[in-house]
Amino acid sequence: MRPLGRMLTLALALFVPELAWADGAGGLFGDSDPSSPHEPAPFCSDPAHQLPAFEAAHAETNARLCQLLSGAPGGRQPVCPQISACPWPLEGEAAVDPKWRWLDALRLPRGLSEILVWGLWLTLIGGILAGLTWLLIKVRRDNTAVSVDRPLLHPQSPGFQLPEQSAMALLNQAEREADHERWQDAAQTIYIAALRHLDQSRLVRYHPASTSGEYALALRRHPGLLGWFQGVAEQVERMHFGDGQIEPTRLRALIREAQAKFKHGVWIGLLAVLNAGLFGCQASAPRLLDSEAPRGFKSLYRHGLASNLAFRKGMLSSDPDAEPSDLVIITEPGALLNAEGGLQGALEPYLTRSISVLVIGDGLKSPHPGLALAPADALNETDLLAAPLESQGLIDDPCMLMTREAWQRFAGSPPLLPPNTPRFVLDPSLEDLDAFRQVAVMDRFSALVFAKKPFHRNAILSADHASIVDEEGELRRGRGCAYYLASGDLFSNASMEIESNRRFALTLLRALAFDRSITWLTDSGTSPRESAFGHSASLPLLFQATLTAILLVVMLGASFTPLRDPPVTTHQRFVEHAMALGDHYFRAGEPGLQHSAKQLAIYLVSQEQDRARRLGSWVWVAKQLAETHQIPEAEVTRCLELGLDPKLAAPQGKDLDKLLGWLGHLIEGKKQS
Amino acid sequence: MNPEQLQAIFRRIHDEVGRAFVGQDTVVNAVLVALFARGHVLLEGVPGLGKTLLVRTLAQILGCEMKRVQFTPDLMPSDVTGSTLYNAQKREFAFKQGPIFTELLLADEVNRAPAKTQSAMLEAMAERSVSVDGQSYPLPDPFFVLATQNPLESAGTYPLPEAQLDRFLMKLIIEHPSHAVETELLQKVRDGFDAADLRSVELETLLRPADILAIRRFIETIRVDDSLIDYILRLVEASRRHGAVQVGASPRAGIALLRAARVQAAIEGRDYVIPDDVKRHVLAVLRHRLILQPDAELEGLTSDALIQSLLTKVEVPSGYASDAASAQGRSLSF
Repeated sequence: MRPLGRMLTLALALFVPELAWADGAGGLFGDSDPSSPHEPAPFCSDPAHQLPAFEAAHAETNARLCQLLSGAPGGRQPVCPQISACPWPLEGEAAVDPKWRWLDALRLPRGLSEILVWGLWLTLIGGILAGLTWLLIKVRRDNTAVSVDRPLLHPQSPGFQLPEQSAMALLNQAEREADHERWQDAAQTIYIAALRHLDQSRLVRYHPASTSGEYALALRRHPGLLGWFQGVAEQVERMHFGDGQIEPTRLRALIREAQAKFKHGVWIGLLAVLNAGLFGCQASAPRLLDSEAPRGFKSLYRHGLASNLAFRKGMLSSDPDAEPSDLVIITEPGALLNAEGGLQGALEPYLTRSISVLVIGDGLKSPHPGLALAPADALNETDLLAAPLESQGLIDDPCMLMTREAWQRFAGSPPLLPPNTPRFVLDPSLEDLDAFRQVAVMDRFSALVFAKKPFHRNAILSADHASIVDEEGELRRGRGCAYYLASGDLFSNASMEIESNRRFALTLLRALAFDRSITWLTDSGTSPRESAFGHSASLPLLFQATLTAILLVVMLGASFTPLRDPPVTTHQRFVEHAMALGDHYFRAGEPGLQHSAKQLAIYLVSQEQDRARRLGSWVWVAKQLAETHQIPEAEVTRCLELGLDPKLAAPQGKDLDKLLGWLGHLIEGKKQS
Repeated sequence: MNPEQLQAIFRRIHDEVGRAFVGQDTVVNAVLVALFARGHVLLEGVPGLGKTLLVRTLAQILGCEMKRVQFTPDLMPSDVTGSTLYNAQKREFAFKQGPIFTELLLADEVNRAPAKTQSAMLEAMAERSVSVDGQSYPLPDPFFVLATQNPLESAGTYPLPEAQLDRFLMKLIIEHPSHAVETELLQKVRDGFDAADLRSVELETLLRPADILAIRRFIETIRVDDSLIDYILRLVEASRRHGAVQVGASPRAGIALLRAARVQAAIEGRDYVIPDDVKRHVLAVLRHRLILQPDAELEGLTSDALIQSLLTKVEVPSGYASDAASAQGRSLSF
């Protein structure tokens, strides 16, 4: 299931990048289960972990470290992370009877077996797809075979509906009819196929009351299709309305042309190849990074971290007693930087209460993503240098960066680093070191240690035979330390998939917390979706998707362009009503004029509704209108009565003219006001 | 004569008209259709859009005699048709022909003349003859009336009676030209074009009146399928049955539509009519023949909008059912 899951995840990542890192390093079908972090550590059952080699390497390192330290002043013994023996049998050991162990010799090499497994998967999927395709073709062929002898109705026949068959199937039918020299049926079918194709492509809307000319007008922006459609329409119309003659050669040419136009499958195939090429040509495959550190941390947890880890949602409390832990991990320092006293002010209460804090910063804001900072005083206690420091993909160049004070402090016994490791001395007063200013202002972080690209662990010990730390530099127990990891990439899902990274992270956390309790604050100040998107490096994918869409528009066009005829809404103006009224007067004479007067009176009443409600009576409305417009009150009352009483008819003769005049005055005055 | 030749002739006429009368291709096409369909045109538009120029240009290109009558409230019927005068030398009454005795007549602002004068044109337009003092005088053939009216002014005008409106094969609405067309027009004027003097354009006379009659005869042979006649009838009937219509299209409207469709087919080089030919001229042929209900008019419904809605409801002809008739080459003429 897992390979299939990864494959599907990769396919989905083309369109929904977030899905790729939505849950655990394995993606959708990965075995990361955030809801059950306390499952038995599959440390031993993970074949990739290679526990025996790790234990051997660690033992060797430990031995050499002890050997070196035995000669150091004070005879300090190093504190090394103790990896307990695996309580479960290694995978395969218990299941295989010893007498069958000889079968191991027959096992294929690891790479070859993977190829074989993938090959089997591909064969299986290919077989299923081939079967489905064959089935589809067979069904379509059967459908068309059934309908070949049944001529289709003309598209404009009463009650005609476009058939359910695809345009391609109809074309094939037309070709068969042409083969049998049933030219009229063939022309009819190709015309319907054309309508089917254009309607399906949303280039035209099929309607029984539409003509070929209107369809052609709708296609005017698609000259390639227009010419072909006009050719088809001409053949059909000549057959129906003209002399009934069909040009067989022309008809065959139209069928061939249509077959080329309808073959979307070829274009889609080309697009798929193009997409695959684009995907392969990208400078780097999409980084399946995840800055949601807890996810990566859970992965780490599964790989053997002590179970004294608790996740908690929330920000760092100002009261250290609220965090009953020996180590607090913060994933979003941005909010703390805005707090009173900044990051250092927020951490100080914890540090003075002997609670260490690991701050995982935002790599985008740091000048050195992946930079790890640790207080100089903590170096000897954390045993960072004693452990095999290995990491991939975090820092390009191994180096060490120390403040001037730390450098002076370690002048006699500098920490051991690989040979040729650049050592920088950072002076906070140096203004030109802009790149380091951000970290330099954090006085608490007196020493900075970079995580490295993989280098041989032996180099740490063999580079300098001097003692690792000065006796006096040993940190007093009971005092908290602040550690700053400038980027959360180390704990990302992708990073944790790399064995050396995982080992480094395990060592780091064990060194920081020993067997003490760890609290991970997982509250996020920013939207996880935005954060994940920002770290997803999905721009190439978006570019690819956009390019694909553009190509689809250019090549297929139809389904990706809006309908040609957008609905148009027109609003009649008052003047048009007046013109209609005038027209009616001229034609209908007095009856029409009476009707118009009635309508105008109703209109006047509707306009004065609010005023009537306010004044409480239409009598007062009439009074006000009469005063406003200088019209006799009786006339206004007549006008209002005509509008209010549905049974009351308009007067005739001169009275009617007069009434219309008053009405016009009242309505026009209303408009002007 | 065959359809292709006819199409070429129409194209040349179009091009030649375009040398003097810029833009308004739809109007030019419709006027030609009406001319060759033996109809008359009522042109509605504001002054200054080149209506007179269009008629003069057509007259020159078609080789026809053209006269213009400015209709005014005091215009008498005899001023249009002519009258019988006493010839003192010959001591007899003689009929003096009015301006209506011409091949192309421009009746400018026809709605400014009173009803009796407008009625004087009824016989001329329908029967193509004029009766004066009991004597009937035939009009020249071809006889084509292009009447104009201003849609804005209503004072001092006499709306055309329905009977006369029905005599017009088409009512065309001429709009202001587009920016590009007007630019071209101004450039032509700048370069010396004078609408009052068409000699500056040196228009070519492409046809003679006899040619027009021959073309008309050919057009009458253009095939019209039964299904298309049914389509025209369904359109006309739908206009009568519509609830918003007081008076629907007359049978003359159906005949006019059929004739217009035939000419349109000829213009496009076909010897058979297709539904598009009918549909293209439905608006122009029907819009002045419908009288809407007062309620519908007050609600802002116009004839054009109503006809457009009819066109979306009436299915275009199948033709499939009448294949047999089509194959026999049956054609109809009116």
